[in-house]
Amino acid sequence: MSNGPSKHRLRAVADDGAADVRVLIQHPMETGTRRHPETGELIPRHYIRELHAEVNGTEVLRAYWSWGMAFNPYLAFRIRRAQVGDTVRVYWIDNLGVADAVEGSVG
Amino acid sequence: MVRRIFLQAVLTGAAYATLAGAGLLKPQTVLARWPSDVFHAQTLDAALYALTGGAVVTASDGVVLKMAEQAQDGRTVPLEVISRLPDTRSIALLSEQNPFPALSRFELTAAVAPALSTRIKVGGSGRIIALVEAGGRYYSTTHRIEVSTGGC
Repeated sequence: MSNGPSKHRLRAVADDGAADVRVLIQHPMETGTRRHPETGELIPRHYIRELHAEVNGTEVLRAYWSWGMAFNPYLAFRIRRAQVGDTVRVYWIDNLGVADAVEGSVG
Repeated sequence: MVRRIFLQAVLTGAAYATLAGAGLLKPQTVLARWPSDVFHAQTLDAALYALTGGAVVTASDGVVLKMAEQAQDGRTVPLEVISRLPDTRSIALLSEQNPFPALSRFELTAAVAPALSTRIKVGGSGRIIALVEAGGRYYSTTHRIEVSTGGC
């Protein structure tokens, strides 16, 4: 299931009473050590610090990240018991305090 | 009098539990928990120490790290980590050759399987470590990767 106009993607696929979730987030995950190719200036560190996954509003997974996670982060995990129609929501906060989220239904 | 104080204490505790359950206490708790010492550690040993509090880490076949042995581009290296250990509570990923070796710490509830796929930056050829907290102890597995162009 894609998530409409969001630039982020979440798919939750039912599998034998469980659900496989794949999340793709658009984020630069800047390390703070890269230089701008033209100006030569350091690009400030900019990374997702924490991420939470909820199923029908209940948190099932939480992560703390550094800038060492790849840009446009990808995460896949498996919900042990899920039904078609369950809502999976993943939200995150970066080091600049910007929060964003992506949501989808188990299908 | 003693009984009254006791009841008040119980009620205060219950009110706190209700607030916590409603998620009203969540943001503060959550923001306070990003482990700065872990992610700012500049050596693998220091990062492991910060993650475990100095507890013993046992190498274990119960932790499986699936990833390529060679990577052209260290900026985005896919991996899968699986724990076969009962009561797995957290999974952390580290890369020896990164300037800051600790990359992530995932905290799992029983509602999810102890297996994750993600992508990391790898600074150079060296060891990638998955550290699993299970049943109150720490276990790890190590994978060596050759990287043509470092990603940090």
